[in-house]
Amino acid sequence: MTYTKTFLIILAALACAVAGRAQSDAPVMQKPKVMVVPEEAFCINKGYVREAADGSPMADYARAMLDNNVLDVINSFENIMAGYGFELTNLSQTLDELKEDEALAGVLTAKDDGMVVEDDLDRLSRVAGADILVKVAPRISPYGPEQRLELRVSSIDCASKKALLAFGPVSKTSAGSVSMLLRAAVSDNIETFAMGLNRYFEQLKTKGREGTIFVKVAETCPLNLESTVSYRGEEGELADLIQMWVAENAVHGAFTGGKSSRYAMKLDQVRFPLTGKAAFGRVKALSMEDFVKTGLTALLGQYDISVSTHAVGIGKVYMTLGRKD
Amino acid sequence: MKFTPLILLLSALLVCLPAEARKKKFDIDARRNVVMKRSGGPGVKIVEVTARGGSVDKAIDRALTDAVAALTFDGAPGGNEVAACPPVLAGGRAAYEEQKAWFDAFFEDGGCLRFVRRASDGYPTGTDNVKVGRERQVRLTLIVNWQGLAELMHTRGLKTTIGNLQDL
Repeated sequence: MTYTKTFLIILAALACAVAGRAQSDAPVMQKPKVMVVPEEAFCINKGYVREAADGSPMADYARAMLDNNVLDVINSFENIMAGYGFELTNLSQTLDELKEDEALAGVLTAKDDGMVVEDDLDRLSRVAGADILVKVAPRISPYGPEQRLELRVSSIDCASKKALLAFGPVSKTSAGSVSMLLRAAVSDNIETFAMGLNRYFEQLKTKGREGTIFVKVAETCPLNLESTVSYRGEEGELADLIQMWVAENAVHGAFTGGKSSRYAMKLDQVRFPLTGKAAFGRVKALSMEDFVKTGLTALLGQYDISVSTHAVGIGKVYMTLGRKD
Repeated sequence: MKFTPLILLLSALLVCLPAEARKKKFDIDARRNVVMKRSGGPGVKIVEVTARGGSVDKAIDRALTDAVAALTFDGAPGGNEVAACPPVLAGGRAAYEEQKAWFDAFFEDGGCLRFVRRASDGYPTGTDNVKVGRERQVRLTLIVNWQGLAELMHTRGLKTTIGNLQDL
């Protein structure tokens, strides 16, 4: 009887240890990264511009970051948001990394086949790995003997370009310093702003994260998106095969978009789960790149197609189809 | 003469009895007048509270409790240059029902008072301290530790308006 009791106690202890380990091994959601940037309209209005290829003015973020007011707002925002648990990516650091990043510029630039152009914000968010961009636009003006600050803040999801939350223009008047005005304006609204982003994260858990898949066919690829392939005894275009896989694996099969030419395809608003099986059957938190690697790359490999992927943040992936060696 | 010791004994008992034999019960549905005045910095809110009580001290105690209760469950409206403050709890009133006993004790036993303090000492004067019927009405400026409340609620397992970020 004593041995039976001892055996049962040991068994119960082992069961608890296994359950505890299983719980601690459960994958957690990747924390979305946030980057605070000056608004494009603010940069252009203040004269922080450079010329685009077509001669039109575009925001020069490097010059904008030399503006003290912009630095004050960005630093205030980052300090407060970090205190609330956000993971932040610094714009100045990203701009330095951007100068060294030339490798993928050619691959991702628009060609005649209608591939998506990567604008400056896309490049910034790609290099920084940011998922949410918080755009700030401070405007200081004299108000009698005092100074008036009008601050406008908006945020977008980098992958889907969806507007998330905005506030402003927030107006603050004081005889104090501009940095004090900026800090007061940010602290006044940060809880409401954090609450809005929190709701967005809640939605991610139930509906999945939204993202975009860009597919580009290289010259060496044996097939193009209009080539006929067989799958499960049925025939159809390669583009249809890719869309079928996405429909079967996305959360509630949700996505929009399709083939734009025989060499390019864009699938938008693809809702992918937060966790899934990655390489070697390991369950992990997923980015869009991990999501397509859970099955789409293997599926395309059956048709002698090699797939190279490049991720932009968590929610975007560029897939280039080539010939399998 | 015969009754003098008895009278003296009763008088002594009356003097020694505590002034407040009962704590004031917490009423989640009571009307509260709490308005945002300005932000005191990240996670700190400065509010203006109007409250009534049988005496000035009771009204001040009521104001302190109201400030914490309002920011915990309902939030506070803003004004001209001041943004509204969201409530600490995402569930609001429903969260109260989840842990009713704990919340009642938190507000009745004075546990909430460590999250609020007055912006100035002494009794309010002038229109901030008026007699209304048989009660005193006071208007106070109070400083509430919003972030401290959020962290406490999060440790209690309650969903806060910014709680998810700490869970990731």
